Amino acid sequence: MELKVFVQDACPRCPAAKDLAADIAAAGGTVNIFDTGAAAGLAEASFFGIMATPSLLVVDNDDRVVGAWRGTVPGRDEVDRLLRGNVGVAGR
Amino acid sequence: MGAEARQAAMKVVETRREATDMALFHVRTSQDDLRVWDRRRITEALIRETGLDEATADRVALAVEETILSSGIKFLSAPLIRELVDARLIEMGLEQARIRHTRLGMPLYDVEQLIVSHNKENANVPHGPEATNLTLAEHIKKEYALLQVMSPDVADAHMAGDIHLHDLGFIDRPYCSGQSLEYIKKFGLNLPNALSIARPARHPDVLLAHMMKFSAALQSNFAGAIGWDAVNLFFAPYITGLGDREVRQLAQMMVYEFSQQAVARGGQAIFSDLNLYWEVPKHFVDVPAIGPGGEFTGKTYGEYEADAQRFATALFDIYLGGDGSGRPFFFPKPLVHITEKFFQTPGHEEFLEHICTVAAERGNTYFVFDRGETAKISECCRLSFKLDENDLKDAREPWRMRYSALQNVTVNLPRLGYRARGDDARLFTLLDEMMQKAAKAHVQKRAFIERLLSYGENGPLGLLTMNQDGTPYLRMHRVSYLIGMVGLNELVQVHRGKELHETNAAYKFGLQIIAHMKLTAERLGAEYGMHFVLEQTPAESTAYRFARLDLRDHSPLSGAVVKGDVSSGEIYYTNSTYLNVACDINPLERVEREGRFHPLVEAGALTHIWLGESRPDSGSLANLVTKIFRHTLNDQVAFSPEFTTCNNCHRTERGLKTTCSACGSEDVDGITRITGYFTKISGWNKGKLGELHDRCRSTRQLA
Ligand SMILES: [Zn+2]
Repeated sequence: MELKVFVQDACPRCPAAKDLAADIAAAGGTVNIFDTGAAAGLAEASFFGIMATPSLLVVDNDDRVVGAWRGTVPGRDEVDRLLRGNVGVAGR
Repeated sequence: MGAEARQAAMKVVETRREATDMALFHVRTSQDDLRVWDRRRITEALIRETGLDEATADRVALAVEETILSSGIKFLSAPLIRELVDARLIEMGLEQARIRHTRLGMPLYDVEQLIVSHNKENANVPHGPEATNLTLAEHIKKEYALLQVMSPDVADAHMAGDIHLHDLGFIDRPYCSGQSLEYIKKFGLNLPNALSIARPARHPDVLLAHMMKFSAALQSNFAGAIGWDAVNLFFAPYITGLGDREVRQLAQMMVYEFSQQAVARGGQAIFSDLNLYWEVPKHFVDVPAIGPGGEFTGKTYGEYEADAQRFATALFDIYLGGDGSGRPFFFPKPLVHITEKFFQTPGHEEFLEHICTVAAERGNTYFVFDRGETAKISECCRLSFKLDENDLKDAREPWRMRYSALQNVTVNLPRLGYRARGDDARLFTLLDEMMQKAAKAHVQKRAFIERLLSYGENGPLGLLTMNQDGTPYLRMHRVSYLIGMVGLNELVQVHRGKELHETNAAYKFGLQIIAHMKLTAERLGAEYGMHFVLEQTPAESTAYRFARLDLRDHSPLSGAVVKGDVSSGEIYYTNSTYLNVACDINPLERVEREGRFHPLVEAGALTHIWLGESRPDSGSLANLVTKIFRHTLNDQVAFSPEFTTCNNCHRTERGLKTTCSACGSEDVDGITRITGYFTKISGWNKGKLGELHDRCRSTRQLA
């Protein structure tokens, strides 16, 4: 289970998304930040059809999207629930 | 050679000249006459063309005269003399002068071949006197472009097949043009150097005639497609009050006129796109409508929805019928824009069903998906542009909406893979080098076109400088420069060992290459102040050319990834960012997976669904089209059936057959889409034949 955060420069709400990502990473979650202004980040965004920043995805190990927030930053609880919920499933 | 020796040599020639009497020699000149030999003409040509000083030029001329004398040549022609001069220039180390003195042309053998056999470079060119004229002219202009317009490094990259400069034979024209009918509705047909001037049309059939003439005029000033925006909407003020029969008649005239206009350039049909809308596009709703006589009607286009819809429906009635022998019309191509508003506009269900019936039955319909708030115009060979703020301002005065792409340069992607040898950093460095070279080619093309435009209305591109609304017809500040790609699938295959459709990792790597190209194009655009956009190159012959060159120069790596049949020479690279045409995945998944590249590729993005013999139900196609709009990022989809048409009994049937099932004749032609248009298969090059053989027909999944 992984949280993917899509951001770019000069995007007003991206700092909030990065803060949230940092909190979740600090708590031990798997988090990757993708800059859509660079090829690798833009490719990842294209793969998941991300057309706006900031966007957040929770995906499983097979790149299946479990949760998505496109162009918005969710509350931490929402993200945690998805990340944790599926960790629980995998751990069973 | 010392000065003395040189003088001695000259003396020898002088003496012999008197003895043999060079005056008896006659030269066949390039001006169609015979002239008495005159060495001075060589000297003068060298001074004029190469800038050599008189003494050197005369020395070359003397040496050539000596060669001619001592050889005993009986028949002299201007090309032969020029070759002798060039040989002498090489011997004397005057390489720059030799290049400037080059003669452009073709060997006798090649001209004979050309006049007698068929040119398969472009399947839209039939064989005939006009077509061979076109090919001969293209040949010389291509040589000219590579020697004179492009720098040696760019020309070499093209010759080697690192990149492909498209339409070099049309070096003195921009690539493609898109416009609206408003220009001719408002200004009439008032072309520079025309023998007569037509005032704005008062009747729909006259407007159609103006549209045809103007299309033909544009075709002779552009290399590629001529696109018309919102044709049904802009015709609407002219058909208000007409009965359905008359509207149908007008639609029929439009389709037949475009499809039979094979008398213009080189016997080619005009590569024409008709953009059509069921709804009134948002950016035209409040725009004052122009009607008969070029006058504002006092209404806005929003009020013409019903008439625009009648005309669109009538056009598809005609497409559904096919031509006189039931074949699909090859041109004009109808592009229907599917938008949010489309689905909110009453009657869209029936219209969608109608255009899907045409897609299933004849294949003509192109479904263009304009999602969200972006408005788009599709103009050239599958080339679409998203309208920016300035364009939307122009939309208030739609005659200003004129777009062009100046040139198309395609990068040979698999070759980068052979050279990178698995090293990512090296691969991206090589890719940057090729993009840089493509940009340089665009800079050189721009400089050349600007030079031609600078001669104004009496110059070679007079039509494009015509100025009726305060701006020249060709708006240079708004043109785009296309950078295309061929063989992403094979690059990923050689670099990562898997094809795009095989693993997510391979697919993501493909996305990364294209994302890198997009960002590089943007960076180069900022650097040069030019609008570079990625295009899915149609690559009708380029996918074959690159594969052939790489098979020769990059074996064995190339042999492992090249598609088609190596033994028959029917080889190709997969076009642009497409998945392998042979891979058997369901159509929606293909549309979805290919579609994820489309936001990165601004121009010409399209997914083909090859139908083969099957005729899917139009209801399920309509369903699929709606799903594509809602659930994918795909920009454009076309469905391509295959047909066999009989030259004996003139019947057309579904599928590719070797004999006519009605009369048994073997004199039949196969017909299907080659890249972006329908054509007879007999005109296809070997690469495309290889692809045709491999295409996965989506029979099962659409049933
Ligand atoms: Zn027959």
